[in-house]
Formats: sequence, structure tokens, C-alpha cells
Amino acid sequence: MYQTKIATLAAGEVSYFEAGKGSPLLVLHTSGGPLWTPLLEKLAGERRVIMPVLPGFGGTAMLGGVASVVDLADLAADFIRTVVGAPQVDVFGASFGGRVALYLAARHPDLVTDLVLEAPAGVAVGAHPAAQDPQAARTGLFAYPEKAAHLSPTPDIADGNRAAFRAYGGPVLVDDELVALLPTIRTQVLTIMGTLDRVTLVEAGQHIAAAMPNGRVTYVYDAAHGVQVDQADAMFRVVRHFLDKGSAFIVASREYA
Amino acid sequence: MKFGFFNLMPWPHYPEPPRTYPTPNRDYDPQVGRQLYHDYIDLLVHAEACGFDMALCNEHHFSPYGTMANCNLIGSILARETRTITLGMVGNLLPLSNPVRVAEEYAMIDVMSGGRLIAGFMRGVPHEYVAYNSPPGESRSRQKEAAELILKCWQEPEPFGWEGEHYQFRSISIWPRPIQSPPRVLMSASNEESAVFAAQSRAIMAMGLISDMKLARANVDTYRRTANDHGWDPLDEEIMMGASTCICETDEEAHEVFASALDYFHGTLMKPTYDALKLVLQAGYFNKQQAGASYDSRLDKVAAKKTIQQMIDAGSIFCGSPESVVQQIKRFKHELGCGGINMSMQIGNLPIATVRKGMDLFRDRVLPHVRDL
Repeated sequence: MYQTKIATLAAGEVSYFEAGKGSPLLVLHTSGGPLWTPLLEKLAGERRVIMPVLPGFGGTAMLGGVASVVDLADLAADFIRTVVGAPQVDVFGASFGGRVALYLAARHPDLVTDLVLEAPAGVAVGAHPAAQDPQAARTGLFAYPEKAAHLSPTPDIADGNRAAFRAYGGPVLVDDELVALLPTIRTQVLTIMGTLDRVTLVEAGQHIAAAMPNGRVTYVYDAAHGVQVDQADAMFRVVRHFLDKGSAFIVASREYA
Repeated sequence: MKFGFFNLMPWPHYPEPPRTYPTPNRDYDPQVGRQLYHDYIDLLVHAEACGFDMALCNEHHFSPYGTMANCNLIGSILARETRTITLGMVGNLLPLSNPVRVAEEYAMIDVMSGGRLIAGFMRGVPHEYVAYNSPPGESRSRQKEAAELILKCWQEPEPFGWEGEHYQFRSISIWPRPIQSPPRVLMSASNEESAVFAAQSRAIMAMGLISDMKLARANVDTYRRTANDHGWDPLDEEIMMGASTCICETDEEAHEVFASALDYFHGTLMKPTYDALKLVLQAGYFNKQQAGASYDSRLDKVAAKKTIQQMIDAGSIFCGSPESVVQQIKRFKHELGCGGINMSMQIGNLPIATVRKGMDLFRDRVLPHVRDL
């Protein structure tokens, strides 16, 4: 289980969750707030998992001067330098947090070793907006909602999460500024997509694989948007392999089967 | 001396060296590919009329240098389109396949062709394991177990079960069973361990991508010695050497067109394969944090650029006028004691018309001088 701590950054105080020992893994959470999912619990068995609570989420206050996704990326960079204590870290960003993570890798490449994305927002180039299920963001996040039942925040915190998400610009199918940066990011990137995802459309993973020099996509079967909840074991297998071996994770190994 | 015609079925139109493994297939045009398959199959059929003893098919995955993902599909066509030529499937990559399926498909080709199959029991090269998500460290043991199981599939008269390290089947009885009892088996013998295994298995030994004639000779000696230790004496024709081959009217023409085709082959088509090979080494020997330049440098020599003459001297290729190629083949016979030569003639972006012309030159001006070696 994780501990909750407070960091003092240039922009103000930021709370964060931390668990485990080993190589650090910075987690950038979804617009659903800082949820300690089954995947993070598994990763914390092997790594030091650190998840800053992005300002406004999880019952925290917004911070002055942190008003956009780009600002969040810069805040994450400050967090790495101030809290993590390693020159470079692996980063895992999910959905909205995936968009933040991509800006982080683009703007602060020296701080990021490898990058794992789960259904990242803002990069579904070529997707038809009508293909996005308008109800999915509320009711279709999980193929197995019962697995997420124990993670749900209180109604007040959920309201705060939604307000913060709106303050940072809300849902974005294609973030043109970010898309233009993708070819410049040299980091090894693994994008995880659920085969049942109706929130982040399939074009997102396809575009990462096509546009980023070291981008790859892996589909996790029988998972919706919240892959780390729907299929935690399957996602852990591939993410652990990737984080340990980098680009060589495509070479099969019983150790990671 | 026996001769085989080998066709990689390459994609000759890739625009630039792919940046990653595996090569994205967006630049493959299926309509162009359709015509290529027909033209390539025509060449394999033409091999019979040119006096080749074997038409040879191969299996590669996720690779523009060879678009034959399943050699048995082409082999089944050749079983109908040819009448006498031996059909060498060189072959199914056993570590990646269901051995019972391999036994069935090979048996089908053998039956349809009237017993003309040579069954390759290949182990594959590292990028194939990556493609099919098979642990490289298990490739040898998988090949060995699969080879034994396939032979059982062909020879057991009654349904049987198999409980192995890698494969488990409760009851097997394949239909059809092959005409040959059993089909002749061919194995790669490109290193000492492989040569020993081929001899222990009483298989035809095959070597390709020779880079040093002395090392090749050492493998032949290992194969013969191991065979003798196991109570048999291989025929010369059971020792097969493979080499990329280009035959033109003159040495100058052959050197020029082959240099260009091989540049494209190594620099563009094979680049992702070399990248995958590095990943396999990286996965096996280094953690991500430790991986530096050291493993790269050991592999760079694989793709090191050599002149056509250097490649001829090394035994890597046959290239030149018919008269020059006759001399190069005689040298192979003299130095390696082989009785079979597999010529990989459709390679890189060599024009199909050039390959066909080379086959005709082989028939008219090479074969008469080397058939009785």
C-alpha cells in the first residue's frame, strides 16, 4: 500500500502517493484522479512508484500559474527534479495523464528514460469524432466495472476531478500542438490500448506507432479504456517487460510470460 | 553434382532503409505483390526446364527481403506445376510451428508431388523468434523435439501420444501419410552444433551465407565425422552449399548488376533484420541500463560492405560469366567436397528478366561442365 506525502515545488505544495522500492516510476494519472489501481500495486512490488496528485484532482486545490496541460508537464518536471532524486525516470501516463506525459517527454527529454502510455488523450489523428462514444467517458471506462468499484472517489472528490479536468481544457481528441511535437520525441514509447476502448480511439495508438521514431502500440485483449483495471495482470506482464528491457522487450522470454 | 534454384521472393520496391524492426507494411502494394508472386513462381517452375534438380522454397516472417511466409503454400503449387524436380522446403521453422501441422503439410506436398519432397527441419534465425514471440533460448530444444515428433507422425502405424518438454498431444494419427517412408530431411549446418545435430539425425546438411571457406570445410568435416560415429556415411549430394548467384553474359555485367542488387538487399531489405538481431542479443546479455555500444560493434561486421570479388573469394556468392561460375563451382567441389549447390538467384531487387536469363545461361553454358563433378 502507498503512503501519502507532500512535496514543495516552485508552483506550490503538491501531494503524492509513493510505494515500493527500486527504480523510480513516475505515474501521471487520468482525469479520474489519483487512483491506486491493481496495476500500480503490482508495479510497486518491483519499483518505487511515485504518483503526484495533479493540482485540482483528488480533493486538492488548483495552483496559481498551473493552468494548462503544458503547465502540468512542467510541474511534473519540477517534481522529478525535486522529489524523485534520480536524473532520469521511467514515466507511465494514462489517458489525460498520457497527454501530460507526452508533453513532459517533448519539453524535458533529459528527464525521461522510457515512456508507457495507456490510451493517451489528444493524439487520435485521423479518428472520426462520431466514433467516440459520448457516454463512454462516464459509463464505458471499464469492461469490468466491478473491478473498479472499490476505487471510486467520493462524490465531492469526483466533482472536483471533473472541474479540474475542465479547467485544464477538458477532453481533446487531437491536440495539434502535441501532435506536431511527437516526431521530435526520441524516447522509447509503449502505448497500451484496450481492444474495447470507446474513449481513446484506436487511431491514437496507431498514430503513436506511425509518427514517433520509437513508438509502439500493444493491444490488451478484453479491456476498455481503463486497461490497468480491466486486465491488470496482462498489462503488468507487458509493461514490466518493457520497463526492464526497453526496445528489446519484443524478444520473448519465459521470465516475462 | 546436384543443383537447386532458390527464390527468396523479395520485395524489390522498398523506398528507403526502414527505420525500425519490424518493417511497417504500408509500403507493400498487394496488387504489385500479386504479379510478383506469379512471376516468382514461374521462375521456380522454369527451374525444371533449366536442368535444376531442386526447386527450393523458404520461410521468413515480417520481412521485405523474403515474402514467403509459408513455403508450403508455394510448394503445393509446385507440386502441381512441375513433374520431376525435387521440391525442397527449406523450410518450415520448427521452433515456431506446431510440429503436427508441419508433418501434415509436408505429407500433403509429398503425396501431391509423387514423393518429391525434401523436408527442411529448420531452426530459423533470431528475428523469426521475435516475430512469433518464441524465446530464442528455446529454439534448439524446440527444433530437436519437433523434429523427432514429426518423424514419429510420418512413421507410426497406429495413433500415438506425445508428452514432451515443449509439445504434448494425447493422440496423433495424421492424414495423409507421406509417400516416402519417411521423406528425406534437410537441416541447416551453419555451425558446429548444427552440423553435429544434422549428422545425428541422418539429415542432408545445408549451409548458406558462407563467409569463410575454411570454416565451411570444418563444418563439413564435423558432419562427416559425426555421421561416421553414428554408423553411416553421407553421400556427397547430402552435403549442400548455398550461395547467392548471378550469371550474366560477362563478368563485368554480372558484377555490376549484382553489386547493386546486394546493396539493396543488405542496406535496405535486411536492415530491420540486423536491428532485430541486436535486440535479441540485448535481451539476452544486457539489462537496458547496461546496453551500450558494445553489442552493436560485434554485429556490424554482419552487414560490412564487401566487393563482389571479396564475396566470391569468401565463398559467399557465385557471380560472373558462365565460364567464371563454372570455375567457382569447381572450387566449391574441390575445397568443400560438396555434392549439392543451392543457388539463391532472386535476391534484392535483381530484375526478374536478369534472373531468368541467368537460369538459361546456367542450363546452356554452366550445367554441361559441372553436372558430372
